[in-house]
Amino acid sequence: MEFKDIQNTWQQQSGTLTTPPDFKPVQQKLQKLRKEQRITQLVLSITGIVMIVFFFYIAAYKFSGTFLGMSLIICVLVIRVFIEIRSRQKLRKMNILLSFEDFKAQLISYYENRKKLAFTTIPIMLILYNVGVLIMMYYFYQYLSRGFFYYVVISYIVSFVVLFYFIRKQVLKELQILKTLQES
Amino acid sequence: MTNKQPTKFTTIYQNHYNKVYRLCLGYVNGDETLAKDLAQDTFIKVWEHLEQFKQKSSIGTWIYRITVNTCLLFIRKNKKGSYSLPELQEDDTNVAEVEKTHQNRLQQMYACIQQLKETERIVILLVLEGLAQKEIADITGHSHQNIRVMVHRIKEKLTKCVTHGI
Repeated sequence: MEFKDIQNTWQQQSGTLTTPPDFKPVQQKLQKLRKEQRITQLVLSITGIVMIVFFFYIAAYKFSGTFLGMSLIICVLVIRVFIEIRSRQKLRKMNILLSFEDFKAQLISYYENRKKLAFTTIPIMLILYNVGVLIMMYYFYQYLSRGFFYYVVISYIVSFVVLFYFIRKQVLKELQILKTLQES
Repeated sequence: MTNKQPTKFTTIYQNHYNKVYRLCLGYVNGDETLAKDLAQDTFIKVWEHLEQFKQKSSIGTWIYRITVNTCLLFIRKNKKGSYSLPELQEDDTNVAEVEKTHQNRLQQMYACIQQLKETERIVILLVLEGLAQKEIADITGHSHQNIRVMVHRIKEKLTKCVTHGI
């Protein structure tokens, strides 16, 4: 068989000549989605500002161990969410009009940054998060009943293991994507 | 986002949908649902960026550029499509037999295309669509010379795979 035959088979595929689906609903849905995204961003920003103001309002002059523990946990979570949002924005804003090779290079650079994050920033954040939890555990131990304290400890360990499993799965998936891109 | 050129976009959409869809189909192993999603993503991007089209190349080349980049972005979804054989009518045995052979060859082709690396897959799909090497060079960002060598190598690889199996 020659390549010409393969090309003919390819071009004579039945079923590939279809009437294009109506694009209007997609356009309308997309416009609605963009509007909703802007509203969500606004609501999230206002909530964030209110939370920060409230946080300082109630805790600014009452520095304590619980304050430190809670601060560490909340800060790590907020930074983690911020990193993910920024990352998604970067992916969405990639220049789709570049040539394939330039676009691939852009995508490789994105996944290399994600790799750096996964092996430097994220482990530090996980350590800080656990330090925050340990500080809180000290206070839980003092103020909670034994039964409830063990319940908190066990549920924390279980949720941390589950969380770690999903983070690891995501990192491995992204490393595989990076490898495929670099090899192609 | 452009909202000013609805007629222009509709014409482009009608004229280029099938080409885009077929390229996407090749990229996702003949999976029609995934190909439709990819084609839709492509045209969303075309719609969003239509005002940035500078007419340095033909609109077809420009759309193919967006298509191949959208296909590459699909890598993050980590999905493997699967080719499904269309149902054949049993009324004419000879016609059915010919059609069956054609479908089997197509299935083999899709499987062989999936074996290729990302760049090779994109290049061969553009070749199968009948694009000139100069146009492929423009879409991929490789030099014309480089594309010539690449196309020759991938053609050999694909022919060997389709003829002798994986």
